[in-house]
Amino acid sequence: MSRKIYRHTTRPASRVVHRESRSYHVLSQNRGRLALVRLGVAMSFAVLALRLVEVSLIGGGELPFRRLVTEPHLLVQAQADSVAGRESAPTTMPRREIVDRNGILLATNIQAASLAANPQLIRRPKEVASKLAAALKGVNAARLEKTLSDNKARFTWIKRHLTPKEQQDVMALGVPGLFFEHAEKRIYPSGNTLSHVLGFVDVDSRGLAGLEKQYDAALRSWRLDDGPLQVSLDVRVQHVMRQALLNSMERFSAIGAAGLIADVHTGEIISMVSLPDFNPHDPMAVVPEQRFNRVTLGTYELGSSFKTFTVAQALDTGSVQLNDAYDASQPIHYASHKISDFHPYYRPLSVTEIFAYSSNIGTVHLLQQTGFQKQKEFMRQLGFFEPLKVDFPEKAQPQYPQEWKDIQAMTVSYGHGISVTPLHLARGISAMVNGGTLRNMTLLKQKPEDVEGTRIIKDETSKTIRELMRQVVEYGTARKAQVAGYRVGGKTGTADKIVNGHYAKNKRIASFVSAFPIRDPKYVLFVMVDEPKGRKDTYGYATGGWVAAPLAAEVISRIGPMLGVEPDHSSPDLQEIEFWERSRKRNYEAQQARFKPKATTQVHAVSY
Amino acid sequence: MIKRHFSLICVLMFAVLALALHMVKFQVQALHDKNMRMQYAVRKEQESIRLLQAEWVVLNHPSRLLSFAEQANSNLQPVSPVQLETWAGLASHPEAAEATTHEAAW
Repeated sequence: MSRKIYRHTTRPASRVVHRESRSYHVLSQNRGRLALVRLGVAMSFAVLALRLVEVSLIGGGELPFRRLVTEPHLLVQAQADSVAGRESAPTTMPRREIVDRNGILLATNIQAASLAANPQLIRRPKEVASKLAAALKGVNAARLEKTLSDNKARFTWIKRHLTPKEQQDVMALGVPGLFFEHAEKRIYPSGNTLSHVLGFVDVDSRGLAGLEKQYDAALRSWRLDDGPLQVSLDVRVQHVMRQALLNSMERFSAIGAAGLIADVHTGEIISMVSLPDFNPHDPMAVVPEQRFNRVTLGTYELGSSFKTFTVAQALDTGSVQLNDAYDASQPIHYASHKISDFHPYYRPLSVTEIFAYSSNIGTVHLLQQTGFQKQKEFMRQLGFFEPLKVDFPEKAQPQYPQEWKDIQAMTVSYGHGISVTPLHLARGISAMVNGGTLRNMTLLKQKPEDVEGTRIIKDETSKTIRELMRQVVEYGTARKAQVAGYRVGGKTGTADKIVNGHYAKNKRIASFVSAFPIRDPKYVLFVMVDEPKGRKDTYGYATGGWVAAPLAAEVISRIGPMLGVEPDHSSPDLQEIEFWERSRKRNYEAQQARFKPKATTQVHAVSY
Repeated sequence: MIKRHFSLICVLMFAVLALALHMVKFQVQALHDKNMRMQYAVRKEQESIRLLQAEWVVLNHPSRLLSFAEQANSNLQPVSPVQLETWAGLASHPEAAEATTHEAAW
């Protein structure tokens, strides 16, 4: 009773709730609920905190934090595109540029618009197709109409890489459902000049040929410190070479030509031209033959240039001396073969004369002194039995006799029966003139101290070969290769082409391989004209001496000043005349002493 | 009492931190935006540099210069090695020596 009165009239001083009271029950019930609410709030904040840690430190967004640190271009790209309001951003940075050895731009990228359409938004496909076909070159109206009529498709390309004019025309049409995608397009400011060596890319900028293919991965990877790819080529030299070859091709009505210039000490290729060539922006517009690189893919019997190797080996092994004389008066008959000279001399010739007059007979005599198997080994050392180790994708396997019998060895000694690429020959000749070191060729700019090589002949022999090559230009078959102001040495080569397994009479390769300045060569130069026709002013001749030697002279006189080759006006050169006279005098003495052929000719006369 | 102050401090700290975070966030956003614009401008600039470089190479291409040389003056010829001389070789030319003394006199 009293409790009941107190409960309604007075409050206790302290807020004590009696266990039995109703409030106590309500509170204890709510305490449990409050705990649940607290837990819920705490867990939500914990989740938020964890997410915060994940996003900011571990990375959980579309562009992970760590990847952005290592590949900053992704950030740049994504941000730039979001600012520009582009929906579909190109996923990579532009392909790296290519520059020549002097830093001149050879390949770069420009922004080009590509036209695409959403066929579902195109109302009158026929009308749109005919309008677009009129505005865009190379778009077929009928085919386009079919594509645009496809109601299921939401995206289709109409044309990639529009010209600014085409883009303007399409915008003027004002057709809804058409839109432009902007992407990088590879361009080659030098046009055809470097088409074979640089190669080309497809519409998605993937390298398909040449250096673009060789260094595709390197050109596509993009890091902050990457500059352009610097190659060993010199665009000025390349232009001179190409023009000279074009002129010569026209002059001699030839079907093709090729030229190569390389540094004899580093193996860097300064110029590489193959004609006919093509427009690298539209490489598929031409027949495949035009995309064929004669310098690296073409294998040719290069003829007398190979005598350089035979003579060098004979001198290097000590099996012959420079002033020894050999009978070149009679053709050599072997089995059913006859080896004769293009310009027969009907007398004994010294080694110098054999080389200068390009005597096949004399060269075979020299080979017999060296030995056939040694010759095979030398050819292997020179790398003539395998594709070259060069940083270029289009490479050819040389053809050489599988059985190295006597007659094969004899023909190889003067450059027949073995087909190598011009690049092989230039590499071998470089080793002959640079002091005797064989080095790998490359298309990237090198530091001279980084270049390694293997010694293949003695320094002394290399010096003699340089003298001999000088004699060829001074007195021999390549007199038309003389250049006022420079000393050039070289060796001509003329070889009949093989057509259907037989030597064709009127189809030949005229070539000339040279080194300059010959006293201390810096560059090796090879030029070749494919199927030149004789002219009145060449007396019907279309040989290496008449076609390729003057071509080389033209190139050397133009590029010498460009490359900073010091002129040498000290002619006539008494030392050289002496060298030549001495060899002839000795030869004369040998004849006087009732010449007996030194070569033990074990070949038998069999009618040809 | 302490318990009550602790809660108050926590609430205050929370408020201050929230405000600070909010401000930093806006600052970062502004900087981010500025950065994007600058990067985009740089990219645009690089693009136009590339275009200009390509144009420069096209305009400077030897065949184009050659055609100008032919049009402008038919007497222009490429430099011949005969026209060049080394420093050592220069002394052997009497007219060169004469020219030098002539210049020295001036």
